[in-house]
Amino acid sequence: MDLLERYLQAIGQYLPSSTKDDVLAELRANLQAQIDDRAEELGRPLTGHETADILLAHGQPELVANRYLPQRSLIGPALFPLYHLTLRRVLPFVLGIYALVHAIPLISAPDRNALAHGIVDSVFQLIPTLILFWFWITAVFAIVEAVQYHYAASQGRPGISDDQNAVTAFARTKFGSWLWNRPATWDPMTLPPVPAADQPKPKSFPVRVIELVLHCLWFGYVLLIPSYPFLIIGPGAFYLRSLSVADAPIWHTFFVVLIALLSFQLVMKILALRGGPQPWQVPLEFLTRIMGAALMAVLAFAKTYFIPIGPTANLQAVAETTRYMNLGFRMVFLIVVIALAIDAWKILRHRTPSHVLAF
Amino acid sequence: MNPTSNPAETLFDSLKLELRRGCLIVAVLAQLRIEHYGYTLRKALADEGLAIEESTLYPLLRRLETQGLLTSQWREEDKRNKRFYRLSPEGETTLTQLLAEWNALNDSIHKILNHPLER
Repeated sequence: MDLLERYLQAIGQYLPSSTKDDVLAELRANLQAQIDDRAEELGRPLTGHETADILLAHGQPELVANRYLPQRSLIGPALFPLYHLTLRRVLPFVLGIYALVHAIPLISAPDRNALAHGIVDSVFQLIPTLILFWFWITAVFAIVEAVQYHYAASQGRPGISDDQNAVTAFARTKFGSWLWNRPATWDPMTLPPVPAADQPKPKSFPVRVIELVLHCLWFGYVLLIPSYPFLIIGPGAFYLRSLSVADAPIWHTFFVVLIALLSFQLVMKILALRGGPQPWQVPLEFLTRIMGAALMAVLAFAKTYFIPIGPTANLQAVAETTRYMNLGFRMVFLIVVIALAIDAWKILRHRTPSHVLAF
Repeated sequence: MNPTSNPAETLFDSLKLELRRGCLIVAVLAQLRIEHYGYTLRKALADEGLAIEESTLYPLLRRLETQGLLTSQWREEDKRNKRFYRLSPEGETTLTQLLAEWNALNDSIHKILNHPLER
């Protein structure tokens, strides 16, 4: 039963959410009936290996799922799972190389303004780079597909099956297995376990990509703030300028730590693209939340946010502004700490044995 | 690609697959004049000498349903929820037409085979 659920979970990874539950429920009913039938023949429940044999005969999860997907004309059903896997495998490398290539000129940027503009440019140039990456991978697979079909037609065959596909055959070799990071022969016994019902579901690949893109945009926005303060405080920026004040050193500390935090999160989001079980993810995400709270604490407990820079500075207005800002930061800090405590409780609840929770 | 396979056998297998593809749809539609769920349908077809892989049959059922040739219903049987399929009125019409076409093709092939070879 556990093995069947693990198998269905593996198939579900490749199905769209609109049909996933329905397809899996039907597959469960059919496979369970087959398992029951076999158990009745043998007069005893099936062993794990006997169940695995039934699942093995039913087919590899990604190929089974692919038969439930709409027909694709550019890349056929035999090749599509490998095409999809290639996109997922190569994307983190593309992002890593892109980050490296763009980081070098940023390090040598002459001033903070140039640095901010350089980073914003890098973020926005990422979108055409990703489109180009998708185009080339798709083009290579489409060409391989077309060549194979023309060859099959020249041999008088109507098409190519999974067994006759040169790429899928290559994926089963030792080198192909290493390249695509999947076993050369599929074994149901190695399927990952099904998470408990009350644990959060892992994020799908498109969701992880969207999160990465949104994080890049957010990163670019934050980097622009020192040059364009109105991006965060709106008309308040012009009001502060009228008070003849400059930023206190606390903002520089805050900004440097914030950039370090965002960079750390960026690396985590790139690593998360790999998918699969990532036990490091929850503790590291929680660590970033603690860092965020510490960052807010720096602002909440600061005494000075602005320094008067001229004889015309309105000290009373500066004091009033500082008081309201301090109150605002303290309230935000309180909310962040409460949210952090709730999340810490959720994590500990999942990891604490039930007999400890009962008392 | 299996390097040890005989090209003639591979060609035959591909042609057989192509020939079976259309026949399978007729067989599934004909069998679903009586209600079945996926597994029992596969067993019923196998009992009649038409073995079909589950990974081919189950998606085919959904496709035929999308095309309006089958209707389906989730129902509990033996304390388990199962999706039962049966031929829709549109499917019955299509099956009649397909059987007529199949019989006509069969007759034509027999006539060709029985015709004395012209030299």
